[in-house]
Amino acid sequence: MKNPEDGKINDKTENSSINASDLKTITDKIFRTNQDLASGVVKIIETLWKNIKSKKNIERIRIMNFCGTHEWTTTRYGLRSLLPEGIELIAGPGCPVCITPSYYVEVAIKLSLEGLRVYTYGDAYRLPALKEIEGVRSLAEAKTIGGDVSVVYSLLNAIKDAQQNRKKSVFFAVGFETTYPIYALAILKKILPENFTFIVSGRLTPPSAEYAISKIGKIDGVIGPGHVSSIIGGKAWSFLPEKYNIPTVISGFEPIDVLISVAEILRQIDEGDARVVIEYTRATSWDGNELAKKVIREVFDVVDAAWRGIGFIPNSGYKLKEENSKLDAFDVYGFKEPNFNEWRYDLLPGCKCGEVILGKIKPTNCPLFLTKCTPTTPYGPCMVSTEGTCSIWARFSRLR
Amino acid sequence: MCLGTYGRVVKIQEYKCWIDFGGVIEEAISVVEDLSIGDYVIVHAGVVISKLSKEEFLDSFKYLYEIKRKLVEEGEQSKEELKKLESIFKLLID
Ligand code: SF4
Ligand code: SF4
Repeated sequence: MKNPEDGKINDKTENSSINASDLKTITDKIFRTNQDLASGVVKIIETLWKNIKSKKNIERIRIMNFCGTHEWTTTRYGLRSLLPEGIELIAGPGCPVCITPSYYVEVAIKLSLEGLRVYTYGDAYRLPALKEIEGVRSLAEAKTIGGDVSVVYSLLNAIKDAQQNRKKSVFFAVGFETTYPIYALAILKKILPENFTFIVSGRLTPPSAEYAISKIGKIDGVIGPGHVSSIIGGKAWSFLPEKYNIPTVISGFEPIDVLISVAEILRQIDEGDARVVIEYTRATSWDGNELAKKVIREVFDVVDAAWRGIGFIPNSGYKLKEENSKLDAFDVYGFKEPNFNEWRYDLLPGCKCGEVILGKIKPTNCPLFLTKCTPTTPYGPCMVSTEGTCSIWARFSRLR
Repeated sequence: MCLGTYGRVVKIQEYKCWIDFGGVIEEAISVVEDLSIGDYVIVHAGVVISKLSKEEFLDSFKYLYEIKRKLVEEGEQSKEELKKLESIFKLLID
């Protein structure tokens, strides 16, 4: 699949190495002369890669991203084919919809069929559950048999709607750290209507990154998620260089951002350095957003939590604090979340999303990819969300 | 749900604000504290997560435009989509 000839830029390599300030100048210029710049960065990458190979006797490195949007950019713009042979870009857990455990979907379907109004983001609307509930597997299907399901863009739309119709309602709160400040603020500011509850299925990215790394073995560099990091800050990733000696770059979402991040990772490897660098300075800082972190801490506890197809990951999920339990749909409507011992593998037979999410295999290694499982007839969760790795690869496969 | 959207602040009331997404005004909650009317922002599932300078906004928008243009070129989206984006751009920029 990798085609190192593609997009290869005429290489007049001198033994130059670039430093951080070169990269900064490049970032500053970037948007003005996009095309030339991309070639320039690719050239830098090739030079660094040559140095690394000869100096350190390495043939292959693996760089992992933890963000559906990074995977989207990488695949959409064929960045893999721009990179020299031996540099692999792998998608890690980057999509909050794909890893939402099946039992949350099942509870949401049940509640919608019991007459509550269930609010969901569009991405989770078609998410298939493992078990059928009254013959249906997703909220979209539930709607066709009379379930009350409403797709919203944000919590505020749901609040407005719930204020008008006064029905009991539940918000399917899927998401990573970026989507959680709004729930916390709405709760603290007491703007929720009566009988409004949440299915709290929020997950945290750094613990899953650490887990993925422990499962797939050595990773040589990490492209960290830009928007998640606007909330949690670059420092939330410092365990990667400190504990695992992994160069980490918090990156923006444009092709050039991703290329620069790869170059910076190579620079660090070349110089034997490992640290967190923020490339996405236009929206991310070292400390992150203090207000957002504070309100989340006030409303939610961080607990061990299940990831679909993967299992429990320590300290990786949000749960409403005791004093807010009347807002927790599980408590209010008498559902119990499976604990570590009760958790069961929750993918349909044959679906390999768990391995795709951890970066162990590529979507193309799944026998169902583009046969039984396609974007129009998704079989597994990674094919549903626009940020799911399988869905991204399926839509843009011709570009790789 | 994850791709951020770009817009401009038109009204602020405590932690709530109203964002112009190019003709469509939506209510949002802000975790950015020093927000002013006219600021360019990234909104993520109804939350303002960061502020952008005008230049940064232009750059980001250019990127969006480039994606759309490719999608249209490849027949994945209609030309209307591109026109819509152009008119949004005109409404947001001054
Ligand atoms: S291609 Fe479909 S079935 Fe296979 S891993 Fe991806 S989502 Fe699951
Ligand atoms: S929340 Fe932001 S950083 Fe995370 S997956 Fe979505 S776009 Fe990427």
